[in-house]
Amino acid sequence: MKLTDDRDLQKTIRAAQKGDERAFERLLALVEAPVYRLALSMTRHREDAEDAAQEALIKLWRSLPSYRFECPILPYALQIAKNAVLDLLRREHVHRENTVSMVREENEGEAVELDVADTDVSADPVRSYERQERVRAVREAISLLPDEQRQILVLRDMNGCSYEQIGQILGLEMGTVKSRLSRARKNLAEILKTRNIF
Amino acid sequence: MREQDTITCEQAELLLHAYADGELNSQERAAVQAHLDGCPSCRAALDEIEAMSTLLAQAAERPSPALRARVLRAISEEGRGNAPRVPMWRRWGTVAAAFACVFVVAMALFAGGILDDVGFAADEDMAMAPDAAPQAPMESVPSDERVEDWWADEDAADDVTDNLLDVTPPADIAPEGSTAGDKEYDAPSSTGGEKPSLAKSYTLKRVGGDGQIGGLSLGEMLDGEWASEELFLSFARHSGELKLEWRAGDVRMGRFSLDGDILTITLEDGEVLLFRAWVEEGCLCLIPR
Repeated sequence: MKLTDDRDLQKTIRAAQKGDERAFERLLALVEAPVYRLALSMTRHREDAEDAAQEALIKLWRSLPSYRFECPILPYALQIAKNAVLDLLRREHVHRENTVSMVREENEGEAVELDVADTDVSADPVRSYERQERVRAVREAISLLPDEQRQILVLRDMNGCSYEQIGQILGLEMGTVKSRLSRARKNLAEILKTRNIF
Repeated sequence: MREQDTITCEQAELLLHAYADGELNSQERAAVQAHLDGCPSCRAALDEIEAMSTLLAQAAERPSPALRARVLRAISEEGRGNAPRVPMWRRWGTVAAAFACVFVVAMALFAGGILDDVGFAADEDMAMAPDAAPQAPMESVPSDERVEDWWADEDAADDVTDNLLDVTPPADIAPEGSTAGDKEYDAPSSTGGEKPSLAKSYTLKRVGGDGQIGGLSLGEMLDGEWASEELFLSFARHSGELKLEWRAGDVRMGRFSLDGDILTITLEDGEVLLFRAWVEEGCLCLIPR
């Protein structure tokens, strides 16, 4: 069931706050991907990101009774996710220094169909392959960025967070959000241009 | 346009990202728009920013479907006060190791003549040989967790079937009128056999009726007939009877009960199945527990 408007979402959150697991499942549909992406941008490893995302979403469930609707649920969840990832990294001393693309790490030597978030499903296999390669290159380029730039790109361009929400999640002033985002996009464009993707 | 509203390329460059993201106020937006109307290079820079955003959105990764299932299971177990799930392979490994230890000790005692003294026969030892099918004592593993795990973990269900494991159903899911311990529970049939297995998810549509199910409890909604492409289910709420008909012609009878959103189906051949049930957009959804 899609959460089509704010009222619908509020109703779902209130039900989840009372312990309605099905309502929480509907909420998960909204927040699990953005939480996972933020975790992935911080850990740069899919398995660690899933572990951290799992922990974050369970913490979200536990903390829902104290959620007072002061901010939208997505940045609230992402803030929990950021802290969960930091806890995980501290606990397990996991920090992937390897700048090799996460996709290639896991699928070395295999041709793997990427899960491409793209509604334009082309019937042309050549275009489809080119799009997959582009996505693969973009993901690799993102992994080459400094952590703070990668996180801000994920929050803005993949999770659709506003500048204000990004500032809240990352603890940044608005001016810093703008300048960091601008720098991140420029750096990404430079990397992609060297790979003839952009 | 007033002179103070015009901006330079340098100023526009600083605002282009926020402009593309819809983060400017109306005055700033108008100023940037006016500049873009007369500046091809800033227009090209904006196009690049927008193309970059599109590429990034396309590259957005999604978690595996297992993530949601794990989270839901964890919160569900938290709610019932259960311990975190132990992986099936570790659980059976622990049980097998325990029996191996018991066997070694038993053989040592037997060899020492101690067990003879208390009438412990050699053939009983054979039943506990490590290569025999493990018969886990119920007290070593929470019963309801094992039942759920069998339905959640198809590989485990296969292993159990292969090992001919019989387990007494726990009291809270025992068929109506029975008590735990008085009925043998056969592991779910997932190794084929003549009758199709029910152990999977279903989305069934209402058959007949006036289609109005809003405002009814789950039990009231279940009462009646539901069908998918392969299966027809007929629930009789007053008697608790259930009939299942497959399009291929197979028919199975049974009984059902509902506890919250947990649907228990007990078929006439003794098979017991648990589902989480809910009605969504007119469809009955069943997920094996």
